[in-house]
Amino acid sequence: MPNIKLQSSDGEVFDVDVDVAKQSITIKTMLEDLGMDEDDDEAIPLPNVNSAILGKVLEWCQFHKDDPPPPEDEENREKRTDDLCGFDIDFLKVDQGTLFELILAANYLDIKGLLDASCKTVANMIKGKTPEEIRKTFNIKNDFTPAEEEQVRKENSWCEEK
Amino acid sequence: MASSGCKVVLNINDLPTELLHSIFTYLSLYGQLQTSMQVCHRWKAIAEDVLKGREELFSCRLRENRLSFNTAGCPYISIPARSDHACCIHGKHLYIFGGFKNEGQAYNDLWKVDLIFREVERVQTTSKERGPSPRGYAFLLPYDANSLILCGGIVETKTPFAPTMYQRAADEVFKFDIKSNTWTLFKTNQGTSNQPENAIYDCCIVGRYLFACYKKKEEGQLCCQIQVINLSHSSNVACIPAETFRVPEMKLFSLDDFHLLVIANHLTKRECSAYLLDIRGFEEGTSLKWRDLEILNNDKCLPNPCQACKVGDHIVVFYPKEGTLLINAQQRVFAAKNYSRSPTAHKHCPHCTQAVHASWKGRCIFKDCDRLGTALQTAVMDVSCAVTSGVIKWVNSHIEFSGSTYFSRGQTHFRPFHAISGMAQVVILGWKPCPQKDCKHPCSIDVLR
Repeated sequence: MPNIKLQSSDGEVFDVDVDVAKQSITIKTMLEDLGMDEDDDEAIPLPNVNSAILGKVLEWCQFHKDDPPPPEDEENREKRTDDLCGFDIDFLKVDQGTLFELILAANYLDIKGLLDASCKTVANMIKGKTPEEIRKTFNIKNDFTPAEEEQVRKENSWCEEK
Repeated sequence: MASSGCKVVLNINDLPTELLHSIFTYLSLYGQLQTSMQVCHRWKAIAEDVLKGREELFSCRLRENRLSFNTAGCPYISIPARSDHACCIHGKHLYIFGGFKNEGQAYNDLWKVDLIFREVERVQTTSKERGPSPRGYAFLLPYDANSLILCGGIVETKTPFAPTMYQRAADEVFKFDIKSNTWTLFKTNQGTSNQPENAIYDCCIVGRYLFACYKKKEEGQLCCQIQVINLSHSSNVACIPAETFRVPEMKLFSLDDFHLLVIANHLTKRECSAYLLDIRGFEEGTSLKWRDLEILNNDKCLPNPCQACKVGDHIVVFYPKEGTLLINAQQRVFAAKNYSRSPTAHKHCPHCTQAVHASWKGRCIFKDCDRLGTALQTAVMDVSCAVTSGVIKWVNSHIEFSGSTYFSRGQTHFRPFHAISGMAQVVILGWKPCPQKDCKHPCSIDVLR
């Protein structure tokens, strides 16, 4: 099984199976379009991902390397957040900083499965919370003036019960 | 971006807008997006954009006739099987009231389904005077932030003294308080004729007025009469004069807080007429001032029977596909026989392998079948310019619902399922077998979008 080398932003080099790395469309395109040779000794630089995150991403790719390709008709399907597999749930039990870095890395590396799973995890953190609880959870500053806040609350009052 | 050097912990608001956008697409349209709008300015803008996107997608699919049932996973929930129930969406909850279980047997229970977590709860209600008796064909409407209105319906009773069923129209109006789970009797029976034909045919709430349409016979002609009930005070109801239209079929819609739209069939021609009522400055005792609307593509009339609901700027009308509305056991047997004669017939019923509706009798000659019900078609009307320019139009659209069949009891009130206006979608609540084999839930919430 051929391997390739990936270099993180902080200079660490990861030696990985090509099939694992190719789940990233970005890496796949690099290999195919730029004619990068698989036996090449030169590492592919990934300047947007640090070693800690790249390690996590590759761990995810390793587990999911035999997954069937995601269905195409994404538009027609109900967006569910309760269909994460057990591995993903445990894998994404990380601190918020890491979770957001994983989202950024999955987006940059174009790994749809990981991006979806991490976005769902964040959506699940929002679920069932009040605006104040959401601000507290994510450490967001309330930039509404009291008047604005009252206005927004009024506009959306139909969804509040009890 | 956290890179080498000092370790910066990322905050959710460090994510670029398009990523926050894709996170928000996983939030429910019933409450979660609205809650997110209240977090901060940035979230408000993104959540509004996601919501707008969903609404645009729905109208775009409607125009292009690409609406489809969402089939992801099992949409089923556990509520006892029934038909002709009343339901509505209020906030993030779907409320379901009553309906018929069997001939002469009806429910008066109230169920609440959380649309975010899909949790079902039977509401333990109390009532100050008396709560609604078991009934079907009633209407449940969201009123204000904390209450629902229940009106109309037919009460069915079977007494040991009379072999036939006794039906009577229920004319009361009840108010349900969501905070205290209390029913309040708002308007009692007026002592007028309570023949089942005189039950409320359609109704809607505009502002604080309840508009109810009754079918009447005047000089041998079928008419629709609109009565107005002021919901802000329960006393004198009769002082607003009722309006009578000489039309055989009518549906009422609330366009916004001030406008009532009435779509009616022409007496003889195959076309519709539409009227708009502005309730601003509409004082009790004054007569209703109607404005005629122009209808483009006016080549069809409201099918009878039909069900209609308004989503965004569109009205979606559901009606049974010709020949599939089977009302009584005889018709069902006949249809099944016809089917078995056709060369493509299977030995078993083609529709299903599983019986779920244990409570329903004599449905189909195939013992296990509960699917020889009604196949649906739709017609769509665009009402976005009704108030501004006085023009509405039919958008040609026929959605066939293969695999989505429901039962019907009667022709007057077509309510085998219930289509409910949702956010950028039609929510359809009905009881039909789940295609997943090991699933025992009898009730389905389908989403048409």
